Amino acid sequence: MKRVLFKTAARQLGANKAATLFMCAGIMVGIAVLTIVIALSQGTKARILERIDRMAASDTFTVRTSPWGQGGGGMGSNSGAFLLSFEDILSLQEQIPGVTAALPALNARGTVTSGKSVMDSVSVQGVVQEFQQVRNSTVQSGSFFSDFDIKEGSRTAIVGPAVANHFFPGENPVGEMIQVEGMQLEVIGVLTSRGATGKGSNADEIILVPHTLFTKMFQPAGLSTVTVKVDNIADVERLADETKAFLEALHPGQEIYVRVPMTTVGTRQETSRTLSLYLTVVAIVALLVGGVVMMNLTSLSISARTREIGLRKALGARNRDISQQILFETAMISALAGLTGILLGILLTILLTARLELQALLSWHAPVAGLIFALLIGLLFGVRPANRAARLDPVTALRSVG
Amino acid sequence: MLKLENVIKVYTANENNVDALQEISLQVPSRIFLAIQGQSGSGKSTLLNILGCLDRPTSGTYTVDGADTGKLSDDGLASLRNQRFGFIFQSFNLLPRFNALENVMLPFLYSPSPPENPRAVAQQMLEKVGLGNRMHHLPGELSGGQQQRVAVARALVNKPGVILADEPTGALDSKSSREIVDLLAELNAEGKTVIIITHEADIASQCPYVLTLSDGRITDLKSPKNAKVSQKVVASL
Repeated sequence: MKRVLFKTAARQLGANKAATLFMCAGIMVGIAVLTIVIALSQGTKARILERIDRMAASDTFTVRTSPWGQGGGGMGSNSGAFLLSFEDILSLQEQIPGVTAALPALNARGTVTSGKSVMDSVSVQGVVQEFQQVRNSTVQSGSFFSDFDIKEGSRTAIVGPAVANHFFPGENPVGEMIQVEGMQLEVIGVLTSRGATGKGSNADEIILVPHTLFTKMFQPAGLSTVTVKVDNIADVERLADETKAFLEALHPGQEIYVRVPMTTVGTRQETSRTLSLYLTVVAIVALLVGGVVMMNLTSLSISARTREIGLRKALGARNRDISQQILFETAMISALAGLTGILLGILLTILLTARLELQALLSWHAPVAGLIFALLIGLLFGVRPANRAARLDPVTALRSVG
Repeated sequence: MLKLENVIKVYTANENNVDALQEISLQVPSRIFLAIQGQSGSGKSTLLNILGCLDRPTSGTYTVDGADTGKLSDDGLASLRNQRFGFIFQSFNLLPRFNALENVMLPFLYSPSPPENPRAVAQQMLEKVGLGNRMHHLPGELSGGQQQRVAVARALVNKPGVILADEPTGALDSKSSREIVDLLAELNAEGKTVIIITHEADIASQCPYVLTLSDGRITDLKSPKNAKVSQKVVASL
């Protein structure tokens, strides 16, 4: 029975090649578009999310001794203001479970020279061992500070790509010497470029030194800003409140301000949601277009075969035999169209990414979704014409022309 | 035995009622050869369709071997068509993309109990109609007479008791026509009931029983003089 159905469908589809081709084309284009869109949007999504993640660590919050918008930042320079000590942040790190690391913001501007070359007002940051982890920074060449460097304040520095380019264009600066605020430092690494930060300053124009060395060089009075990283992103808000209470208990009468960068978490989720929605809409449109084309052409093919259906009924075919046959044919067409559509989609995706500035991610999702959609289209939009064919009156059908 | 009692068939076309059959009562015993004639629009095709369970009467009853067809579902009628009746049409109605053998095997597709070796049975039928050497030809590669013989083989393959032929020679030349009528007569001699619609006088003259229809009524019935009572077609004129 199944073999006969298959043979019948194959002959039928082979007989009316033009109609079959059009039916295939409708679904094929839909599925190809779907495959391309899935691949491209997955690629784009991955790229955007990666960029968002690189721009800001979203599992961090900021602690300050003065409210936002009131100067400050970095080390407190204006005397008399309340500042946190290095011991404060060490105890915060040790005593609040869930806090991965507390990162003091030790920022200063300094003049850097090497040989005859000078660079003014470069951002100099004192860092602790956890810096890399919290800031999602990586070193593109050389290495990060060792525990020893951080503890002892070795005269070492890691430079941003802009600094490296300025002093050592086209060369590897690792092992070279630079002077920061008159102190001779050995370059041990170059940071990976962070590109846009959304702020005015160039995030690549930066020099990192161990926090112990920074304290020697700039002698800050204390810390006005601390960045805290937590183990679990979901706990950010709770831990921010706990940190505020903890520090206020250590310094009675002083107000501590915290800010959670929820916007970052929100942006990430929203971006991901928008892209998924976009994908879904395109998929539905592709499904409908392919389905409607399919339904119309199947109806047309049934009209042309009314007499055959009448004959089959005269020979004893029941209504469900007829609808089964039609459904089998539409399912076969859509499976065929689905497969070619997927191949076409993959081919076009490869071509598009090679020719244009696009990023695609070909995974098993696209072909599987494509095939399921194709079969769904075939069955969903085949049911109506199939039932119509099954309900044909045998006498009228036999009398029809063609 | 096929038995129609007070069968009326009314078609509704463009809000007008057309009386295709008006109070037809008819008994057709098994194993007879019956011709139905009449002008076009006289209701002969409607009568044949109702006899073949392709159509249902508007009122009245139709029983096949004692079973009331009015009580059968659509599926029940389909199975009756598959098992009891073999149809032959004026335009052959062969599937153009299937060869002669495959066309003959088509009724097995809808049979509840197809033979163990359907191909052999179909080959046997094609040999019987004289097409043993044309089994793998497509209908388009066969002459009209040969195509109609394929259709006859298809009508026989499920071993039905009744062969219904609607102007089977209407599209054939006189030589092929004679061959088909001879084939039908041979089948009748082997025990099949054959009911044939024709408006060719010389074909009707070969049939022992001839029923004439006019405006949906039976107006004449010719029976052989020597017919036994059990073999008599009974019609109320």
